[in-house]
Amino acid sequence: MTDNFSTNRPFLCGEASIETSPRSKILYGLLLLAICVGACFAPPSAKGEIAQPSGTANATDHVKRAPSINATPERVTVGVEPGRSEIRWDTGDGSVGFVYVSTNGEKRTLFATGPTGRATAPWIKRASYLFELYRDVEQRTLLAAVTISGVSALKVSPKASLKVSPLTTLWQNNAQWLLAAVALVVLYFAVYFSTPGEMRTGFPAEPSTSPRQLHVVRNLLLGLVVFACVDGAIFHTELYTSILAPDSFAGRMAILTRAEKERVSSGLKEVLVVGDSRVAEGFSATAADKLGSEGGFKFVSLAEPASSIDIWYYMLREIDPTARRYSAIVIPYGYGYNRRRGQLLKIPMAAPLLRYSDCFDFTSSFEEWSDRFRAFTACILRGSALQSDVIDLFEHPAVRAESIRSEHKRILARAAYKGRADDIAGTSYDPNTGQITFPSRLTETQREAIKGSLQEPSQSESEQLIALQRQWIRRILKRYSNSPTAIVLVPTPRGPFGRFSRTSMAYQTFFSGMTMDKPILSLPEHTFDFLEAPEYYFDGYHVNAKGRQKFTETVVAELVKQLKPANSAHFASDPEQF
Amino acid sequence: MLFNSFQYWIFFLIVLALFYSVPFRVGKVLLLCASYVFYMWWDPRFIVLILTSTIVDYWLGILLESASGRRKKLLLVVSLVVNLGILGFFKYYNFFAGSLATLLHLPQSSVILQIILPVGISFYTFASLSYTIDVYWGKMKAVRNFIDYAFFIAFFPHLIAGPIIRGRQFISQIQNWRRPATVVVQSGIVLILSGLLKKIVFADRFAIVSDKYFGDLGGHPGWLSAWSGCVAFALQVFFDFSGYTDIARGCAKLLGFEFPLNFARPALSRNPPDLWQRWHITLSLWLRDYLFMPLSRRRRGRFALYRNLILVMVLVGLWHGANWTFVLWGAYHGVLLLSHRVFDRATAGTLLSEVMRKRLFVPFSVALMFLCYAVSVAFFRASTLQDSAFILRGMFGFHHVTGNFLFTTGTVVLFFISLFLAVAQERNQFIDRLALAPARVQIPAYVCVFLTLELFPVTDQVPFVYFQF
Amino acid sequence: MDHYAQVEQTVKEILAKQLKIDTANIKPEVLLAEDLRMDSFGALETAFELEDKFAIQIPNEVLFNVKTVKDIVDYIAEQTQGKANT
Repeated sequence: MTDNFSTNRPFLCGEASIETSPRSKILYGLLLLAICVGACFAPPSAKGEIAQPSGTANATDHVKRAPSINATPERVTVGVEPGRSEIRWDTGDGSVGFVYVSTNGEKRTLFATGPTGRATAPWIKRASYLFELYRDVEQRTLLAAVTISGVSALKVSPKASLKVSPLTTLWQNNAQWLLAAVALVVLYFAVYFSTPGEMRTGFPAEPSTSPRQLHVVRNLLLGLVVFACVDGAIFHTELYTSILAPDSFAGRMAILTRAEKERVSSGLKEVLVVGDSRVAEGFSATAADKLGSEGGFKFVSLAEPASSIDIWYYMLREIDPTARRYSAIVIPYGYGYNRRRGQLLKIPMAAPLLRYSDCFDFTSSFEEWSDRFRAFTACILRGSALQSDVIDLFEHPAVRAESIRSEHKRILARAAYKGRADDIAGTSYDPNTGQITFPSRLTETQREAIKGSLQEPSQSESEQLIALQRQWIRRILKRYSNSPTAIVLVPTPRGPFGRFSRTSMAYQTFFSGMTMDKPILSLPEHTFDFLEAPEYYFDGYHVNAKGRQKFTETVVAELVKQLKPANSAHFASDPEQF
Repeated sequence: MLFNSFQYWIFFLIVLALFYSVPFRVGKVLLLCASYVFYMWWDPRFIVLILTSTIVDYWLGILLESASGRRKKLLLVVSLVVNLGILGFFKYYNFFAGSLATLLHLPQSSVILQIILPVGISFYTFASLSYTIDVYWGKMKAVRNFIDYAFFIAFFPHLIAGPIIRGRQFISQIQNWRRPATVVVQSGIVLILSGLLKKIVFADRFAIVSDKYFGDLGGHPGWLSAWSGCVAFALQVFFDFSGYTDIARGCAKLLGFEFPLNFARPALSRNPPDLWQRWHITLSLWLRDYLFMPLSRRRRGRFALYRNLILVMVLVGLWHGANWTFVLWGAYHGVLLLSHRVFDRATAGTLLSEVMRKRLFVPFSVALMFLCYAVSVAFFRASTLQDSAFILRGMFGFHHVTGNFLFTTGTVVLFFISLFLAVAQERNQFIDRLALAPARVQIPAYVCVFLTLELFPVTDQVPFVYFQF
Repeated sequence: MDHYAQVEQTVKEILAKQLKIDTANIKPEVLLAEDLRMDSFGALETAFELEDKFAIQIPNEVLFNVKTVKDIVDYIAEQTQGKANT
């Protein structure tokens, strides 16, 4: 899975203030000042960015190692932006250690703690940083140390650098103190203005009489209506969708659909592939283009990690409004994984695609009432589904601006992606005993993913999954019922040990007895059985570069075979013939 | 059913609709039933406790009114024993038994019982006691309608976490109930919205900072961490509790009842007595009227007064929870009050006192008071005395490290926003006056509040801090 | 000197001692809390002293609700009227 959008990043609040009197203008001014102060306050003191002290050190089974601390890289090139380096430490005996950092030999500050772990220092400037691992907070016992030097990437003459540096260093060294001073001045005046001078002896209660008629219900309802309109104006338009965090699920979905919508048609027979992370890792549109060029095919992959069939439907609606754009659309089917997580991600992911009219359809994809309520609200008030994105925007506006600027690079990187090189070959599984043997090189994450993939979905889980796919396939087919676009259903490979799975990938298991609005194509049940081997996987769910090539080749070959004009007459609602 | 849960609002809207669709004498019974349902939502068994206390005090009230002499005293003692007995057993048994066991070197397991603390017990016990004591003193007549009395004790907005209401103020409201005026309904709505903002946006956001610190004390040595953690918790607990009170008062207003004010910008207090006039006002007043004054009238003299003060403050601490940290918290505040008194007397009439009176000096007093309050958090939030000691050592620089500034950009901005709102409210009741504002002010205000609640809440439901007390 | 003036003089003296200020500064309409900066603790000590001096009991309601020096003098004068006449 790719980068998850962090929801627990602390946030910034918008204007909670509700001002009335003209006097409050001063307050507004102060508020703005405060926001500026606040916005500059946190970064200078931010220490380890993603501290991951790995573990609560199990006292019984640890092996004593020599204490160590190291940094990658130790020499950091610093440009206009600060550089970064990753620090790893290990006290060796499972006891808690304290990593301190001092810049140019100045006072030490605490950087991270934990028995072992790693943390990124994203603020390396042109200076020398000494990272020391201590046994105790009092810094009495030094266990290990490493020095990082920040070196300039800009080739400046010593003369020129001398000219700039004193002022810059002065500012850099004193910026946080200056900000603290400004904050204190703001605080002083705020409190000063709060009082006329004398001590208060009583506090009046709320007003109990009104000089004129009040319209409570009317104002409240009008407030609600205006609120819904403001939400719509911000979140249902490009206004906000264009500044979504490109790394978040919502942002990726928005960028992908926008790019695909704006893409000029190639004039070839375009085949669209949708899917979740398994298809995103498994199918390469670039490789498929080469393979399918003879037949005049052009492939587009919009497979996105954690997406599901309902989201694909909304995506299709967005990028293919006439329902005639593509020659074929490839839709994978099968069993998902970690359903609860998928459900949680579904709402923010679908948010940029949802319309007001989806409030009942989309809600029906959820089983729990609380989720349904959230899904319903997401359609009516889209902002509620993008909370964490808004909070992140306010908390790190500069980071957001930078990542939006580099958005096109991500699209290019997506096209150039070749798949993961590593594999899990050597892993074996005994279905009788349930014993899994791992080769020593596998990481804990890979092992967990493999173990997870071997857990069969429960009866109710499978039923719900199948029901979801049936419901949305029907909707997709209905949408394309009068269109020449062929809908191709592809069974998703089940995993490195899929052959031991009791689950059937047969078309009938999923779609038997359904009345279809349109004839469909389906790849045979066992098409990808050959891929279900550890050498083609890098964890329990996703194929590696080798598997990617094989999967793409097979899909393209099957499609070219099926989509030949002569074959189109054989499209039938009963896929048994394939 | 927490006030920040969806369930509660469904419950409240149903109750509100039913209440206004029937005449008040039926509506009163309905509200009483709803209150019991509300209370039983946590644990149906708790109802026995609240009913016991209600029946006993109702009956004692009637007897007290006609009794005199020793019999009257005896009846009051019965009421005190029953109420404080229930409270003491459920809240303090394990604490005292455990402490005693430690003292006598007995195994803890031999004395500790599996007791669940019934929610709101500290609050309704005090409400009930205020009634019997007032009847005993002849300050009010005994209530002769059981429904009225039960309603006073169990009325759901104040049941769980106050404000602590008194029979004298509240029972007359039941007897003379009138449909609330439009302006009252309006300010009820403003209160509810401000309470929700305080809880979901402000308190829960500061909670992230304070939890980070208090959840891993060992990982956050240094004065900067300690002060950030404690200041964050000081802000969290204020927004949490005053948010709860706002919602409670707002809901009561919508139903046509008034609760007393419980908070008045405590962060702007200038000195310890000022703090206790602004922070949890109903508790301070209760203790002043029913504990401190009777004690002080019995024995005159400055020393006795000071001793009573410390005693009452220790009890305030214990009221918050059965833990030595709370005892120290109370004692610390007692010492603060006392030091202020001594300082004030010593400097009265001097130049220093003149300077301190000046408006220009006020922000310094406020800052000092706030920092003193933040220090008390080391006792209030820590679960053991060892933790308190660790935090205090951190705060006063014994760790020889700076530590991290735990506030994020967002929480710093939130801090300033709350400061400006507090200043505006302190100066001219600006939040309260929203109820009177014309539509062109009110509607944008609603939109801002709704947008903030939509976009900036902490989504995981965090229970209110004062529920445990 | 009539009864009211007597009471007023005594109250002023006690207040002046308590607050360490000159009796000349204590005018009847002066606000206790705002102008004289008397806090609740000071009020209590003063009240107890007044109670002892005049042999009366000032109830909590009065004690915590008096605003000005005149309020105290009025209350005490009224309470002690009977005693003064007898």
